[in-house]
Amino acid sequence: MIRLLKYLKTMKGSTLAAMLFVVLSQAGSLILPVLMSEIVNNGIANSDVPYIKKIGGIMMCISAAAVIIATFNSYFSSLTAANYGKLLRRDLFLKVESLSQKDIEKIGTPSLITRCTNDVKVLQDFVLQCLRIIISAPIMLVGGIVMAFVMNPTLSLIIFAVVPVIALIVLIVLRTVMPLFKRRQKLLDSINRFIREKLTGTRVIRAFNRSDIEDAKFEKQNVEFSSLTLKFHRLMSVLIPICIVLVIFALDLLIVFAAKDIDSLDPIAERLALENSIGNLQAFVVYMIMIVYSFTMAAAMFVIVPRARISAKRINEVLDIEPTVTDPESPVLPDESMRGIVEFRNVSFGYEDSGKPTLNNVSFTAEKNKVTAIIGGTGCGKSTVVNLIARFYDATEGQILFEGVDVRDMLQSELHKRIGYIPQKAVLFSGSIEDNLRYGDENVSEERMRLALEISQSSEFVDKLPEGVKSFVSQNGTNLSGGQKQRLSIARALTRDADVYIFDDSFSALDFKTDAMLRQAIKENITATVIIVAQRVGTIIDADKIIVLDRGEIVGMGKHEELMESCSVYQEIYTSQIEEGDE
Amino acid sequence: MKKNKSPKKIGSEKYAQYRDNSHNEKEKPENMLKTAGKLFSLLKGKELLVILTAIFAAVGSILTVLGPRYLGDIIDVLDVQIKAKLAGGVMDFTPIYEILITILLIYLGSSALTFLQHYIMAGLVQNLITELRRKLNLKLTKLPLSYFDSHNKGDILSRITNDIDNINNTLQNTLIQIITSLVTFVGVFVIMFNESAVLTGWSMLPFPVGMMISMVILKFSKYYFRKQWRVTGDVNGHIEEMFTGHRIVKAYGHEKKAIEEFDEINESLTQASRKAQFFSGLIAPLVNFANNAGYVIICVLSGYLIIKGEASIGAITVFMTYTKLVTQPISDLSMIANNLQSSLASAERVFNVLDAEEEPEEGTKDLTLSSASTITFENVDFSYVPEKPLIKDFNLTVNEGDLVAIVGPTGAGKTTIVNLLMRFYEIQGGSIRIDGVDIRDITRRELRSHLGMVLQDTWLFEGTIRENIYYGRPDATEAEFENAVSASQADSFITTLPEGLDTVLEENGANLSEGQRQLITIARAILASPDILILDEATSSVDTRTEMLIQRGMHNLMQGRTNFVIAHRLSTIREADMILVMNEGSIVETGTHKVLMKKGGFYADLYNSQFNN
Repeated sequence: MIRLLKYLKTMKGSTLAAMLFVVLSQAGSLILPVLMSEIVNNGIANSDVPYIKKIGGIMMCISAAAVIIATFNSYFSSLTAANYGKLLRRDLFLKVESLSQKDIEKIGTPSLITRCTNDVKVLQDFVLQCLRIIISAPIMLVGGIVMAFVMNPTLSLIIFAVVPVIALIVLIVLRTVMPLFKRRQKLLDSINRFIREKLTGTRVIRAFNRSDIEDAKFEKQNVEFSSLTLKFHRLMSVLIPICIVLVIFALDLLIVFAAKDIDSLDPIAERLALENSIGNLQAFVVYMIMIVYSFTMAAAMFVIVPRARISAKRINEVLDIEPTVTDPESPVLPDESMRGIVEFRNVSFGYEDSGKPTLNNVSFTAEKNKVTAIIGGTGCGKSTVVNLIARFYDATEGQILFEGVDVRDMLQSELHKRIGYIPQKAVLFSGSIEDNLRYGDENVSEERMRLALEISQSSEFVDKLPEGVKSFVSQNGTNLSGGQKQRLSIARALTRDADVYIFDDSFSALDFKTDAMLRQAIKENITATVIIVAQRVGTIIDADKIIVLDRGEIVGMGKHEELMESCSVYQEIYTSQIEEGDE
Repeated sequence: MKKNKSPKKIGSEKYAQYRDNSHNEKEKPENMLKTAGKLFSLLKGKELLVILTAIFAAVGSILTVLGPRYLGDIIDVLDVQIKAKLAGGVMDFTPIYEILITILLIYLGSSALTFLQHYIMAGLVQNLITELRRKLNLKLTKLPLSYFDSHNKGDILSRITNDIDNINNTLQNTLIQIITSLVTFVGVFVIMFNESAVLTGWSMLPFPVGMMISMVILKFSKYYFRKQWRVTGDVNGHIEEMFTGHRIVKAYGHEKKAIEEFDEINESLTQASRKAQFFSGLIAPLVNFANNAGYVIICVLSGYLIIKGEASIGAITVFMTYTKLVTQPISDLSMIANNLQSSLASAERVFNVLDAEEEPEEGTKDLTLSSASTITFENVDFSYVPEKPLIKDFNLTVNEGDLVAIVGPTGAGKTTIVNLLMRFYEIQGGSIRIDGVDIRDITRRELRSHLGMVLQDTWLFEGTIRENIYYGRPDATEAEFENAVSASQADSFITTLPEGLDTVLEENGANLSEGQRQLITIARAILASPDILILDEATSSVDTRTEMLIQRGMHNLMQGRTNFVIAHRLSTIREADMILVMNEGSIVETGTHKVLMKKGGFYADLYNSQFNN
């Protein structure tokens, strides 16, 4: 947690200002009882009305100053806390943006979301409370103790009898509370994940009539979440009453001792001390109450510490992730003369948890401005090939050369700039169609945008929309059909001038006619290397090079005609699809 | 389609627009009192406990009020004893001890009561929160699908986590404070008034001013609290969307843009949260000023009174503590008002979802379908958006055991037909009947228990492959399960996984290929063994060889069932008893593959385009 508090360094000014004003306002509340005792001892004892008025005036001034001071404190503390939250949230977001897909899955998206909002808010509130209240507790405590000692050193010793007891109780409660909060935040992740799944899977859940069972599952988490919170609140409900009883007990003791002390004074020799004793005792009692109350208050406020600690841990966990895909220290630019060439050299890849490697010793070259197609059975590693080119993952063995340079030796931004990637599952963002297209190239011209829509066969439906490219796409394109989403996702890639376009089975939701027209349009309009992953032979039949993958290994490479002669796997795929056309 | 006037919307503006666009929900700030009413109505049935807490609070407050009174007395008693000693007598300790013991007992009592209040209240509040979360979850089950199309996922998520958590954090203390503060204020005021009406009057003087200032400030803070939680939803929305689309963000080098948008919303959240906290932080010092002013007034006045001999020193001590006591509940109340506002702002957002319009009424509960064989669509009209009719006068009859294939260009309305049959959306004209029964006359549950479907978008939850397949029918036997797994061809890849059926699926499915995920969803639907099976592009990412094997495996399963298949691949539809060719929302051709090919119309054109290169 201390590490995260270092963020406050960047806003030293407002942090220190907030602290200063807390100290000042505490000083004010420490002075007031002194003045009060002055009025009683001097003003009233001597019937000195002007004196009472004078001190009263000073007290009013101090009170007024306190308002101003508190206003400043409020200003600076909210400023600090809000900015603190902002920086923390930003760093978390930046961190996640720098991670690879694989890294993200370590913690999981729902948990990352909770950490970016809920956990940050916990820490933000903690900072705010610190700057407003918690920090004043030790000040009040120390101030009260000093003042009490000045007035009566021996009686003050009673404080030391009570404080350790309260400290012990607080410690015990904290120990119990910490694991509760850890579990609680985890459950919050789980609830978040649950609802998120529910939101994405509404149709399936409803179609299978699973709502009841899903709700029962949710209810279990819901009840556990609440019962943890309940436990915490109930623990806290013991803490404060116990502290108060201890305070009063101490006060009782104090008064007994004080009375004995007064009793021991000699009425003649120490007459003055005796006369002043009542006023002094009154002020002393006020200080004592203040000391012990501030301690109790600190204890009560302290409950946000364990919560903040857990949240800090969770945030640190994210900030500490070492991205598995990183930029090199001395990046190399792709070789201009090899523009559009992608080469796999003995590449193997395996996911940590699945035993068999997904790709095994794969070597091929995608030639400049040629169409390279990859085909093969379900789970043969087609998408993995694509993922490795775009560096969503790094190869376990071998190397991938993009325009002559190992992808690990260049900046990811340089690599991605040169690729037009179209994913298997179309992902669109909320915003207008145009916003989504501009994802490909921020400064794309009108004509280019039109062309991209034209090539991807999107203009046909986009033009029919009442607002054309300005039409609103809801999150993940739920207001579009599967094929429309896929076409827009293709258009998005085509807005940029990429050296290499990668279609990861991006035609699966298109009908044959659209598929054919789209490929024809690409051929006519785009001069770049094209890598197509596909299921349909029809999609790739006239590719310059077809790579046949089977269980992670290349079992055939060449043109359609060559493969029809030499590659049995390819023949099987072909016959399974084509024979139907013979009828 | 929704409106989007300026070409580029980023950050908070974009999300604000999302809200404006949600046509079926207007998120107008409601009356906060109304929200409070709704929130507290969740305590219904627990009135007894609330009353009990209030009684404890009242008794506790009386004790809290009595405590300082005795503390004041003790100073008086000591004063008497000291004066006695000064006069040459001896100090008598008996009255001192008596009072001290009384004080101890009073505080023991009030502490016990405080404990009980918090203990009970914690239970009440957690009950309320659990109920609220439960209701929200159940509501998500009842909302029409169109609601989800028009709302940002991350924002809904934020309501169920961040907003409810906020209510949770604030409510516990707020409720007790309200009760205690009110009781204490009244109690102390009465006692003070009895002690000295004059002093009470004077010490109360600064309050109206403080209250008025508080009211003004509350208005500001209310605005910013609302904004704070709304923008928290936006931040959550942006984060959710960016994290979910992480791959695309990376591939298009869009991190910078994503960060820019994030910065903008983040800044807006920072400002809202800063201002909300600043204004709410002002209340305490202002009320404290009133507090201190009262304190000073009492000091000065009591000085006069003592000199005049009209009050004792003890009386002053009492009054001073009372002044503190009577101002405390007021300053507490104003602090609470802030907390309450923050939680009401959140509650408002939660109730906004709870109050959203639900799916139309269910049909009769006791009408069931004995079997589901013939399906008829009669003059069905439907559109997602009123101004854009999609399905017009759609007619179709499907007989028991038929395999019906729906083909057509993308956006023709194929999936929409499935959506309507499943009653995910309500038709606007005509009727859909199964065995002559209008699907609106039976419950959705009953309807869907006869239907099984596999969707274009694979949806699997985080859990093992086994759990995901059993999802189709949790009570299926081992044999049925194995049958489904092999018929779907999922077994061939599952056996290669080190953990087999117990492999845990990752949330984004990174450990399985898209095709493999589709196989699991097919196994799930086969296991469910419905009367009507709908496959909506269920094998689009599966290779054709596997697909053929699936068809073979399913051949037996399809007997005696009615099947709908939406597909582009001919291998899938060739065997169909009837092929429906759809274009722009209506059927343009029907017939078998052979008939349609001979006809040389739309279908033949679509089909041949595959070989035209």
